[in-house]
Order: sequence, then C-alpha cells, then structure tokens
Amino acid sequence: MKKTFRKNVIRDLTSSPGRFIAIFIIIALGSGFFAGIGMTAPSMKWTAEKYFEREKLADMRLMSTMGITEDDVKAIASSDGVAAVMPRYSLTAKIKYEDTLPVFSIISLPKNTKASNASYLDRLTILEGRMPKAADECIIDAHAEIPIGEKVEITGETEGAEISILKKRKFEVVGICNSSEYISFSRGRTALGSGEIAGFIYVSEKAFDSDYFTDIAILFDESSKISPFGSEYEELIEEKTDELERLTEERAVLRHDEIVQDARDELSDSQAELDEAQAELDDAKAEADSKLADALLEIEKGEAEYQSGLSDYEANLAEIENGEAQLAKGRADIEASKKQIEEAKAQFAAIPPGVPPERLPINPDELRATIEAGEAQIAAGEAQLNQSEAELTSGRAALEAAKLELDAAAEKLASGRAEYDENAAKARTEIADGQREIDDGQKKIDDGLAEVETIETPEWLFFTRDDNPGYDGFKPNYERISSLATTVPPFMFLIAALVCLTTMTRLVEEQRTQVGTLKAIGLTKRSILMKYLLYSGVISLLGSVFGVIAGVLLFPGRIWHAYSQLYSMGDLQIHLVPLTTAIALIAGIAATMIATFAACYSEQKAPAAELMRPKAPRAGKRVLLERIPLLWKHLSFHSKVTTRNLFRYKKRLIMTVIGVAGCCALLLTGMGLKDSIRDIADRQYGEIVQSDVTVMVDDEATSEEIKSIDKEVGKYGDYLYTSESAITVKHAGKKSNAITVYLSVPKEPEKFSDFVIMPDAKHLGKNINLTKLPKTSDEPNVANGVISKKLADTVAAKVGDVVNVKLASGKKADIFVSGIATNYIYNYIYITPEDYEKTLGSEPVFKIIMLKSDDTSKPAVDAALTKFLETDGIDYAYSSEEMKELMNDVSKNMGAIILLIRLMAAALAIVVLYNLININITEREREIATLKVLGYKKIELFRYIFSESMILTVMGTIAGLFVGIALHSHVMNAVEIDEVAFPKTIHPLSYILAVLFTLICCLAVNIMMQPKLHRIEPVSSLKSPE
Amino acid sequence: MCYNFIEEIVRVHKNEESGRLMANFIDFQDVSKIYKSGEVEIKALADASFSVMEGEFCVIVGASGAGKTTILNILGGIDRATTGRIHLGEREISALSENELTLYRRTDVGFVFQFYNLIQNLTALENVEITTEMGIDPLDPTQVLGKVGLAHRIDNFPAQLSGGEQQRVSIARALAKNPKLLLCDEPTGALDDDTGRHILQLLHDTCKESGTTVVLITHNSVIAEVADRVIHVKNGAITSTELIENPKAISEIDW
Repeated sequence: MKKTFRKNVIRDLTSSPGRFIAIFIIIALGSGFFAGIGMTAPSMKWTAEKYFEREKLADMRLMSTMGITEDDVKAIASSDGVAAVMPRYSLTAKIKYEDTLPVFSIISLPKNTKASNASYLDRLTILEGRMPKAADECIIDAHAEIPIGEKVEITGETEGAEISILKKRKFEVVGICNSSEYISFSRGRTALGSGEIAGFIYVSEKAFDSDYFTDIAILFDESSKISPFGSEYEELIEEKTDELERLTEERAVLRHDEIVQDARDELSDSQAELDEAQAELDDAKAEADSKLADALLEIEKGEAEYQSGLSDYEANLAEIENGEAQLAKGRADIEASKKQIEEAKAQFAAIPPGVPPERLPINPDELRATIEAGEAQIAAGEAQLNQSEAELTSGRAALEAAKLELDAAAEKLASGRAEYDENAAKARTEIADGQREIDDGQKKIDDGLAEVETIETPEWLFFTRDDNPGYDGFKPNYERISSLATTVPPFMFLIAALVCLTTMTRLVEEQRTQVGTLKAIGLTKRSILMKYLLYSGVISLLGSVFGVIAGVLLFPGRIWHAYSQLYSMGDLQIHLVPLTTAIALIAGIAATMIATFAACYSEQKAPAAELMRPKAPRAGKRVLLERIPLLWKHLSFHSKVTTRNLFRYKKRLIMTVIGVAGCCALLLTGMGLKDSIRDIADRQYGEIVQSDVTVMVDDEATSEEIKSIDKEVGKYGDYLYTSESAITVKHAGKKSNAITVYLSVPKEPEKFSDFVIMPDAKHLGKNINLTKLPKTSDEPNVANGVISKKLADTVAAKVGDVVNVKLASGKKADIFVSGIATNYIYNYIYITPEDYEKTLGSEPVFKIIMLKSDDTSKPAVDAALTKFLETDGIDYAYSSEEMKELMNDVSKNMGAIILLIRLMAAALAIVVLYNLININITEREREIATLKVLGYKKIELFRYIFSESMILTVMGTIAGLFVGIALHSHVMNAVEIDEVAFPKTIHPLSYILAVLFTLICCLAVNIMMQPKLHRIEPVSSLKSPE
Repeated sequence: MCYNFIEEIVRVHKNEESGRLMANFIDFQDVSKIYKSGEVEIKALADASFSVMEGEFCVIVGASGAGKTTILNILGGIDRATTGRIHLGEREISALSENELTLYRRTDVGFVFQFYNLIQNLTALENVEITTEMGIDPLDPTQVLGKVGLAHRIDNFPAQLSGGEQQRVSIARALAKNPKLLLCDEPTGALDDDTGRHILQLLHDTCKESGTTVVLITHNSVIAEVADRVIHVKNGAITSTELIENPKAISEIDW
C-alpha cells in the first residue's frame, strides 16, 4: 500500500472520532455481550466438568434391596470400562442435635482418603478440621452449620438401611467439608421428617457393622474423556446401565440363592436345635412322671398303714370299752353280791342268838360260811376287777398314745399329698410350657421355610448423576443461561450489525466524491475498495477484539458469582468456546465489511466523472399525509418538513426504527424478566395461595397434641388439613420427562378453594373446584386430579390424559387429568382423600394445616406464628409472606444476568441513537448550515433535527414494545425451569420505564449532539455540495 | 470612547459630503480577517474599508481567494471579523452577540447562494415559506414566487427544477422576508449565460424596484458593469472602489 494512501486511511479513521468511537462501541457491545454471555454457560459447564473430574464424581451409584456383597463389588469392579468403584455404607436418619431432629445422610468413607487413591470417589473438600479416624468421629456438611467438637446422635428413625448397621450412634464432629456429591445446596428428599435432607455426615468405615454394603459408586474409564453434559455421555451411561443391569441381574440371582441357602441353613439349624429341645423335654417329662409315681406310691403306702393303724386302734378301743363295760358289769355284780352278803349278814344278825342252828331255817354256820365265802369271793372279785381296771386304764393310755401317733401320721400324709399335688401340677405346666415353646419354634421354622420360598430376587437400583439433586439442578441452570445466550445476545448483535451497516453505507456515500477523485486519478477499483474495507476492518476488528476480551472477562464471572451462592465448585474457569469466539469476532467484522463492500461496490459502478459530480440530491417527495389537505394544511411548517423528512430517507427511517426498536425491546425484555421473576412470588401468594400461615404438624404428635393444635390454630381463623407428599410424575401414554411434584390432598375438598385457588389454565377467568371436577374418569383404579399447568406442559399432558405418579415410598398410582390449573411455584397434583385411598390403598397423612387468618396484618400473623412455634406437636410454621420474601431472594441470582441485559440494552440504546443522530446531522450538515444562514435560531435548529429523531425514536419505541413482548416471552420460555412457571407478564411500569428510558436516551443524545450542531459553520453552506 | 464618538461624527459627515440623499448604509472600517489553522495564519482580509449606500447595487469583484467571500460572510453575519467594525445602518454588526447575529440574519439579510441551497424535500413554495415563517414582516410567498416568475412551479420540488429556476426560488426565499440587504454569492456562477443574465436582471430589478441594497460577489468583472458601485478585491485587500454614474443595462453587457 502506498504511503499516501495509508495516510488517507489513517486520517479517515481519526478525522471523525465520533463515528469511529460509535462503531467501535457498538461492535464491542454486540460482540462483547454475545461472547460474554455465550461463554458463560460453557465456562460454567467447563468449571463443573473440571470439578467433577478432579473430585471424581461417580458416574453411577448402585444400590441393592438386599445389600451389596464383596463378591458383587468384585464383579462390578472387573466389569468392562469401570475405572473405579467405591463401595460404602449409607443410610438416612434423623439425628439429634441440640433440640432439633434434622434428617441427615450418614455415609461411610473409604479407608484411604488420600488423593492418590483412585477409588476414592465423590471426594470431600475439607474446609476445617480433618477426616474422621476413630469409629465415633465424623466430618460434617458445611451447610449444616454444626461446629467442630459438637456431638450428633443418630436416632433409630432411618431410611435406606436399619440403624443396626451402625456400630456407633454418637459421633463427634472433627471436620467440616463440602462434598462433590452435593454440588448445590440441595441435599435430596426423604420420606422422613420434613421430607428434606438437611445435610450429610461422613464417618469412617469402622463406624458401620454390616455384612454387606448399601451402595456402590462407580466411575467409568471413558467419563473423564467426554463431557458429562453431552449426549455422548448419555449414551455411555445408557450403555453402561445396560451392561451393569445384565451383571446385576446375575448377581441378584446369586445373591438370592445365597440368601435362600443361608436362610434354609439357619432354619435347619434351628430345627435341629428344636428337635433336641423336644427330646430333652420328653426326657424331663418321663423323669418327672416316674418321680411323681414313686412319691404317690409312698404316700399311698403311708395311708394304708395309717388306715390299718386306725382300725387297730379302733379295735383296741372297742376291746377296752368292752373290758370297761365288763368291768362295770363286774362291779355291778360285785355290788349285787355285796348286797346279798349284806342281806345275808342282816339275816344272820337277825337270828336270835342262841337259837340253835337246827331250829333255825338256816344253818347259821352255814350261813356264816356262806357269808364268809361270799365275802372272800367278793374280795377276790374286787381284786380281780381292780386288776382289770388297772389293765384297762393302761390299755386306754396306750391307745390314746397310739391315737396321737395316728393323727400325726394322718397330718403328715395330708401334707405329703398336697406337696405331691403341687409338684405334679408344676411339672405338668413346665412341660406344657416347654412344649408350647417348642411348638412355637416349630411354627416359626415352618413359617420361615414357607417364607424362604417367597424370598424375591434382590432388586438393583441404578442412580446416575441426573439423580443427584445438585447435578440435576446445575444442568438446567447453565442450560438456562445457555438458552438466554442464544436469544438475547444474538438479537443485540443483530441490532449492532445493522447499525454498523447503516453507518458504513453512509460513510461510503459521504465520500462519494473522494471515491470519484481517487478513481479519476487512476486508483484501481480494488485499492479504493481496500481503503474502505481497511477502514471498516480496523474499526470492527478493534471493536470485536476489545468486546470479546471485555465481555469474556466481565460477564461469566459476574454471573457465576450470582450462582456461587447456589453451587460450591470454586472459582469459574473461563472456557473459550472457539465457535462463539469466532462468531463474536468475525460476525461484527463481517457485517461491517460486507456493508462497506456492498456500498463501495454500488458506488464504484458509476464512472469517475459522475462520481465526482455531486450526487443528484434525492428528490423530495410528497407523503401520503399530503393527500389529506384538511390535515396537511393544519400542520405547522415544522411538522410538514419533519414529516416529509421522515419519509424522504426510508432506509434511514427503517434503520433508526429497527435500531431503536431493538434497544427498546431489549430494555423491555430486561425489565420484563425482572418482573416475571419477581412476580412469581406475588402471584403465587396473591392469586393462588389464599392461606396466610402454613403449619406442619410433627410426625410424632400425639392425638392430644393434635387436639390442642386444632384449638390453637382455630383461634386465628379458618383452617384446613392437607396432606402433601413428594412424587414423581410421568405421562402414562407418551414418553416424557419424569418430574418431581407434590401430591396435595385436602382433608375437606369442599373447603379447598378457600385456601388454594386453582384458576383453570384452559378457560381464563374460571376456577376449578376439586369437588366439582369438569371431567372425570370412569376407570375404577384411577384418581381424578387437577394438575399444575407447568406440570402438564412438562409431561405433555392434556385434560383427559392419564399420568403415572410414584410416591417416595415406591407406591404407584394413575391419575386422570381432570383439569389443569395455573400455578407458579412448584408443581402440584390435587386429589380428594377418597381418590387417594381408592388408588393408593391407604389414608393420606394430614400433617399440614393451612390457616386463613382472620387478621391478616403482619403483627397478627407474626404473633400467630410465634404462638404456633411454641405449641407442642408443631414441627414448623411459616407465613405466606415469609415464603414470598424467600422466593424473591432466591430469584435474585437471576438478577445479575438481567441487570447485565438491561445495562447492555441501555448502553446499546445510547450508542445506537448517538450514531443514528450523528449520521442524521452529518448527512444534513449543508442543510443545517443553510438554515443557519437563513437565520434559524439554535432552538429552532434543535427542534428541526430533534423532532425528527424523536419521532423516529417514538416509532421505534412503539415497535420495540411489540418486539419486546415477543422477545420476553421467548426468553422466559427459554430460561424456565421445571419447578417454576414464570408469569409472562410485564408490569405497566416496565413499559413506561422502557419507553421513558428510550425517549430520555434520545433526548440526552440529542442534547449531547447540540455542540456538534453548533459547530457546523454557516459558512460551509457556501461551499459547493460534495 | 472618545475616539468612537469622533469616528461616528466623521462617518456621518462623510455621508453628507458624498452629496447623495441616501445615507451611508453599509460601512466597513479597517476590517481584517485572520484564519488560524494551527501554526499558520492566513490573512483573508486586511484592513478593508468601504461603504455602500442604501439601495445600491454593489458588486464586489475579485479572483478566487481574493477575500470577497470573506467580506460577504462578515457582512452577512455568518462570520466574524478579527478586527475592525462593520455597520449596517445604525447597527454595529461587529458588536452583535451570536444570538443577535442570528436575529440579524433572520430579519435583515437575504442570502442567495451559488448552489441555491434549497431544502430538497420542500417544494418551491415551502422553501420560500421557511423564511416567511420566521420573518418579521414577511411577504406572501406565492406572490414573491410569482414575481420571480415561478408562479406555475410553486409545487415543484427542487430536483424537478432547472438550475435557473432553483436560483429563482433561492432569490424568492431571500426576498420573501423583505430584507434590508440582499447578499448574493456568485448567484450566476453555476448557471449558463442566458440563465445567469436572467437571474442578474431579477436581482437588479429587485434592487431598483424595492430599494433593497444588493451586494453581489463575483469573479466575473463583466457583471460589475451593471453595478452602481464596484469594489475590487485582491489578495485580501480592497484595491479600489468605483462609483458608476451610468451603469449599463444587463442586456447590454457582454457575458
């Protein structure tokens, strides 16, 4: 290139710094925003990928319903393509810390937690303290905010595994960490407690005592070579899932057989034991029987003896009594004899003395002899009697003694009999008990045997990274930015390119005479073209490079910062995507240079002579408005000129309108994004949720407590019990994504509409009533439900379709879509308790109370909350207002990117307007100079130029509002996530602000351009037109 | 101050001395114009002094770059003298502020440009209306256009008019505000002889009929022959001022 020519180019660049800077900034803004936002998602992705690789995030996690054995582990580890496996123990349990009972995941760490251990997956980042060494130490989730040195106690309420697999129940916190397994703050769901897992605890393997592992983490060889977010990875996981499914099926059969065998062995051992016990019992019984028989025999013998003794005694007694009777008789005889003797004596005495015995009737001697003989006889009899009497007395005494002996024997016998009876009874019950026990044991064994027959093959559960709550959320988050990057920045880029195009076309047209001159003095077409291409190339290159560098340095970091509150993956690592970089760099340059080329090309077609002559000024034209004289006549001169000017340069009109419209649309989109996100909470807690307070009843609340809760809550207003459970939903017919939603069951469905309004998404203005569903299914096993609009969209369900739901417990049910209701935060399926029972077989657990406070003022609601939180049996209570604020806080992380969009839109609006007005002024410099000569005042000139650009701006703004509404809706669709349905409305204030800002920009730029207007020398009007 | 007063007396005295009834209308006193372009100073006008009587048809003649345009610019209030004073009637133009200059151009001066400088998207009539919209005592635009012989083309856009016609519109625009002074910058420069002659005639007639003072600059000394007063400019200085007692009729001059 010739020196002079180069000078010419450089002078062109420096002679109009305004234009130079404008193009530079426009291109920098366009490509910077494009590159910056475009690079954000890939950088986030890149950062995550590097993080996963560094922390060895497992690709897959397997669980088995019957645990995982060492053999299983070996089989999986040696499976194709498996780089590393990490078997471990885990369970979810309520832990006791201070007075709370949060649910935690308790997970074992491998023995070797050094970085060099390739099978140490899902690594921890220790933030404070150290890894647990002893069995009763643990390292805890930083999110849990439990300091080192504290002790946590695991309660018996667990999920996943029995508490018995833990050797220790109390752990001392020795470290605080982040876990790569949990990249976001979401720790997962559980059927325990509040349903939310509050955190994790890692303990050493020693803390567990179990024959089998609960789960196994797997890392594949290939996963470090491919992006975990791509379809290739999906394919890998699918393939590996298939392979491992085959493997685990085999393992499951083996495990089943093993378990059955173990059970059988155990049962037969028990049987043998039982049999032995039976034999023992039988022996014992025999022994007891014989012993009892002996005892009985002896007793009976004793009794017989006693009986014979008794009869002896009785015989003796009779004898003695007989003897005594005889004695008495003998005594009587003796008395009678004595009497006779006395009589005889009397007779004898009565014999007169001396009467001869012959004369006497009786011989006295004889008589005397008789008496004497009688007396001797009596005496002998008496002696004999006395002797007998003595004998009898001693006999009786002996008999008395024998009687006593007999009585004693009788007593002894009685007690012996009693004792025997007792012993016999005891022995009988003991034996019976023993037998019963044995029978029970036998029954158990029999049952066990029967049960063994029904043992199912263990089921292996597969979890991929998609099931990881954090991972699961990260993808939509970066995809959201990615989709945002594909909507807003290209739009902005387009505007920027368009404005550059206008500017360059204008530049070439302006330099028409110079082109002609250069051509006339013999420069080739090519070198003239080169000149302008060089000019535009240099500016656009500078702009692009500056823009890309600034954009990439500024935007991704700023956006990541907003997300860093959600994810703990360290600092963002900028990843330059070649394609995006190339587009950002080249597109701006290309647009500018193509415009230049096109303009040059059309200019150059004309011969030099014609070019050197001033281009015939574009003829004025009548506008349509003039055809309506009534209107036209009443227009002021000013308005006439402006109107005609507007339509004179149609290209400029279109360019300006498009440029301004684009900026206004971007501004409106930015504001609208904020509105939509901010609106969510307001709408959810204004239009949908009508209750003011939500009370969660403790799982373990007693019925008395519930009674008092009812009473307490009832004091503040009307309330309704509902049941809410996390479920996953899939379309029954179509292939659709499974998404997590809440199954909400109001206890009294007829009251439900007072607490939650279900606006019919299909018929605006109508609300759905759960008790009067518009459409119901006839199927007996299908529940009729109302589902959230967002859920319907996600699973592609229409009214009349059936969706499959799965509870956390694994229970499944079909729900007929009776209606689709508008809802903004989370997704719900509402069904009646009858339908719940009908399809799920159990009664819903009503643990949530919605309260509609009579006094909705903040102090009243706060007072109620405080009261509830003090009430026994209430787990938690929150106000809708709190939730609203919380949601508003959450949506702030989108705020960063929205603010960027708004700032960029504002900046673009200013630069575009500046550039367009600049062109407007430059193009009409001569006209302005002439008007100055004719005596136009500054204000008149300003109005002359300003009213035109203002009208263009107004037109652009109006067009921009329409474009903005469309763009906003498009962007909202792109950035939406499963849990949230953004209302696609823009606040009136945002419209006003977008319009006002654009107009103010226009006014500001016009004022900014004033000096330029004034700098135009009236003298220049005298020059020949270029 | 004192000096100013004396000068004023001298100026008035001079007028009386000239013997004409007309007052000294335009008065240039030692006017210099120096353009500074970086280090370089270009003296476009050096101590130029001249006067023009009211109602005169004055032609300033000189080669390109002689300084005649500078004189016109300063006189028209679109440029300022570096030193010296300019009076128009009782007003000292050189002492006017920027806004006053604007008002001066707006009400007192009519401009006719070499390249017409019409607003392209305004019809002939509307181009004239521009000035009447802001003029203090405007003439009826249609009448003025009729006077310049364009009654039939008032609704045409400049692009639809010939050069001469455009210049007529330009003159009509200048005249419509009924100016005290009509400044013409090479009004015939871009026109062919015949058309040029017609335009010149129109300007001359205007001068004579309405008594408007006309100052016309040209490099064509032939035009000077029709003037009442001719001022010769060379290298930024006035070389001579001549009063022509019997100016030629325009038809007489040899173009």
